[in-house]
Amino acid sequence: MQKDTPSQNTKCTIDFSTSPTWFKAIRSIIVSACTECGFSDRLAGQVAMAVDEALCNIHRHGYQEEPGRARLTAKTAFSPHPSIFIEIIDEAEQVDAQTIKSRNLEEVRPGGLGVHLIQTIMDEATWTKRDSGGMRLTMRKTIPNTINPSKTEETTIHE
Amino acid sequence: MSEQTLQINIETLDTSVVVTPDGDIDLSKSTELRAQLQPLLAQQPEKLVIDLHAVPYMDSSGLATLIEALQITRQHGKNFILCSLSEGVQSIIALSRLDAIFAIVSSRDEALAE
Repeated sequence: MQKDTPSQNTKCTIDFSTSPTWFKAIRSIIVSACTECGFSDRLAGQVAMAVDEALCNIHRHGYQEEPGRARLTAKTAFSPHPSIFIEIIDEAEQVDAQTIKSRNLEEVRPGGLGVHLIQTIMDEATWTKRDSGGMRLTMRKTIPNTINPSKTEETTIHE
Repeated sequence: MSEQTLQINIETLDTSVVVTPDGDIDLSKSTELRAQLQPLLAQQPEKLVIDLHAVPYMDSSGLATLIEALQITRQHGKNFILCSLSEGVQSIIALSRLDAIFAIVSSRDEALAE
């Protein structure tokens, strides 16, 4: 994990296979990044869950459970408020971002909860098509009660 | 990366069956839980208890497996109870607004006494 002194922001980039056997290790990295930034264990676990659900969707829907690649970049910021910014890019089949929606939770049925969990846990989650192919998901989580959108929205993740 | 299988203990007590998975139930493991539950569901025990004290993390695929099992037991008019939820499992169930759908109790003893 790279440290950008003096602000102590950190940035971590991982290129990995979208095989689910990797997902536990990636959850662990996200939990570490969040707790180092000041997130509670519970909130860190939830952010890791959102990342896990995003990876599951890439594996199942993007790559149709076939082998694929993804790159995850996690960046933490202590100032102005403790936050984590996550970008996941893949080379999977592109989908219209407008079709990525949470399902009706009144229907009790297996499946379709991943997008709901991502959107519920994270303050921002945006899917876009990449010009070079594949999709990009950017997410942000700032510790509750410290959110100042006018400042945090200035931060972006670059490839 | 680890390819270990999910450890699942299955115990039959009179007309109840207690299933105790041990480890994270994520996309790489939920199919194993589903495969273990299917023959138990076919037996239609009066009560199927899933003891989740040793499951620190569950993703939506694990949750889908539990929802499927709940629906099958309900179709058969039987009881399906979750007990001893870890904080991680409580978290996903609450975030998915399924805490009012599942029968959830705090301990295995309580589940068997229900």
